[in-house]
Amino acid sequence: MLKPKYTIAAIATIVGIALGSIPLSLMYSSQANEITLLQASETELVRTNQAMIRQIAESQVAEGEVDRLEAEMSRLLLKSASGGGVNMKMMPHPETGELSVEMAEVFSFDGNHAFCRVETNKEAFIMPTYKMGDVLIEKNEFFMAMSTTTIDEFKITTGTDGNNKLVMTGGLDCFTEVAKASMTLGSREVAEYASYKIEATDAGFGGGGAGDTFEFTVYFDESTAPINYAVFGPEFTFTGDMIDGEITIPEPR
Amino acid sequence: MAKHPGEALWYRLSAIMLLPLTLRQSSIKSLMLIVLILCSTALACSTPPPPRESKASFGEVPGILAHASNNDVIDGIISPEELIAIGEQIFSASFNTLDGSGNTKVRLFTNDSEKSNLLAKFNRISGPDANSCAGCHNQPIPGGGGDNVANAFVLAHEFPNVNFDEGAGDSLEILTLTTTGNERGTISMFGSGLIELLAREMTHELHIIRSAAIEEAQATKQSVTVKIHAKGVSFGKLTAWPDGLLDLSKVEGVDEDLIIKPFSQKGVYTSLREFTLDAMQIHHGLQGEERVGVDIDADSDGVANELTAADITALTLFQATLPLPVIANSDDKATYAYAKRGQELFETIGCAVCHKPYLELHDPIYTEPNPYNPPGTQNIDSLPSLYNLDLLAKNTSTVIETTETGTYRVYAYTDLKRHNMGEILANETIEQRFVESPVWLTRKLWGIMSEPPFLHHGRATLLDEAISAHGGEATQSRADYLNLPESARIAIIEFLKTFRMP
Repeated sequence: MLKPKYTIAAIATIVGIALGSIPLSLMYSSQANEITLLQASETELVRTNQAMIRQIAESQVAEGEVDRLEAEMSRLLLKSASGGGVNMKMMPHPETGELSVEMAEVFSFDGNHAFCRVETNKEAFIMPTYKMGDVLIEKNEFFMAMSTTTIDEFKITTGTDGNNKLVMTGGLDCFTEVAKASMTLGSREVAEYASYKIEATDAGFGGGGAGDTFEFTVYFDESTAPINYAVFGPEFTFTGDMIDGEITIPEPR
Repeated sequence: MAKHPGEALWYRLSAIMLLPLTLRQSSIKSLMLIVLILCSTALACSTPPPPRESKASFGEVPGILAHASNNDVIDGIISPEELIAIGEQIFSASFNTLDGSGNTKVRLFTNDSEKSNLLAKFNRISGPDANSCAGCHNQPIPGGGGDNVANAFVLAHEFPNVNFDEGAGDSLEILTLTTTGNERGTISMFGSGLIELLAREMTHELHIIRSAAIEEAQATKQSVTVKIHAKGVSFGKLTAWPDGLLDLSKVEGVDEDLIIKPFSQKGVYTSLREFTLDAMQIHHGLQGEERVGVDIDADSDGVANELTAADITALTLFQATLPLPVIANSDDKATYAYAKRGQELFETIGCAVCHKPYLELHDPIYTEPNPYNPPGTQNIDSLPSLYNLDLLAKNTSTVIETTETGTYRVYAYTDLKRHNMGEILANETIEQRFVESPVWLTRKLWGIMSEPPFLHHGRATLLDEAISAHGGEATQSRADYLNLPESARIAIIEFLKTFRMP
């Protein structure tokens, strides 16, 4: 048998250990709860994450579909954009030098083509050329036609002024001829290639009076379009007061 | 033995003084002879040398003292440094009639009066409106920005000779100052070589994305829509179709050709060369032969070859190698702390979205000409690249940070993209190259404190006024700025004040 004092010491030790383990077990119990909660959270997080990944994938598919539909819509809008009319430009008078000689540029465009044409001049005028100085063009001596061969890019937007705009770029054939009695400059049969940028604005029904505009900017490279470069320079915008016609550009979607 | 004529004379005089008097009389004659010889020698030495063959030009001379020769450039005879020196001389020259300077459009309005023709040689509105590049680009040194007095009226050059009299010079139109041209301030060209290089690299990135989209569309026979971005800047989306057509309706901030054009406040010039050719013709009436041809007097002023292609190269290289701005942090602790706080706020309120602190440059070698130059400006097809200049070889500026991968962070505080800036800044009535009135290229902020006044027309004399005029895409940032406490706004101003020229 143990002596009583040892028995008491043993009991005290056991009781002490038991008492001491209470907070420890409480703490472990608490941490176990937290671990369980964390594990639950982790599971939830993984589940949410997987759901998000699925949603992202779905939204990417949806975004791709939206892109495709928007692209289809945009192309349809291009097909429904069109216009035609007459831009009146004033050229210098050979005697007064004042911009008083009318030159009518007829134009037309849609999603497949664009052209601009000056059939002839009813009066003599001075053509201030880029490389050849001022050239006197007598009555009925001038012809110019530009016709697109490709449409490479297009853009339909609403401008900051609220008007719908169509931009088209690509390549064209340009025929410019000054047929004088003594010589002919250029040709109405042999084209020179150039690149272009068209900006048409639809300001509502009413054509030029409502604010519609048609600007046909052509970029002449001297190596591919020497005649037109000499006449018009590297960049020339054919435009004027739109006195007739209508431009229709649908609302972008 | 005397080594010097003066020393010999001293010995001789000493000897004479020591001679007996009887001998002195003959010595005096000798002395006089020596003095005579010495005086003659001195006189001969002071006589100017006989005239050589003169290289001077008598009478009035052109402002451009020496043109760069195309052959010297092509043959590699002239060094980049020599070419840059010629460019600097042309940039600072005061052009005159002998250079071919003057109104290239005089022929478009008739007035044979000597008085009228003299007056028409220069027109402050429709140009030519300056005699020298440095006449406007001069703050704080040639190449810099300009005061309000140096504002240009962009696109007014399309009128022959504006007088507001509805006459031929006005193309018979009823003009006002605001319908004639777009008044713009002169901005600096400092660091413009690096800006052009950044734009070239961005263009290259955009074109790669475009090409890949076209190839994918053709391969898959379906439309392909891709996000387009370069150097972390988004330019929207494009759609490529199998037939090769590109839909650019959702492209933002760049032209349809996807070429980043970093020059002019509207962002319409691809390169320093293209800008220079236009500026020389519009502001000075000087035509580059690469535009009008060799030996052709296109403006009928009696002078052909007004600017050789090599001259334009020289001007381009001069501008490309102008000094870089710096970020000049203050030594004063309080000011420094303010600026640092301002830098944080600048990003917090969204200024840094467009005024992107840095763009990363891969290659600092400037080649000329720019491969993306448009027709009428020499490009890599018409003029092989003859000069390769390392723009950062001697860099000490704080606007450049080298990365571990060997690239360079260029702290220009721009995204080189166009943005709608709202109604307050939509004052222009004439569109420049299809860019609408409220749309502007993000202003580079580097060096800005060295070239006041601010905004495109110089109407803001304070940075606070310039920020307050922001709108459009910057509406929220402007509102956030205005809602900041005064001390925070001052901090942002202190940050902007660190952008200077050295």
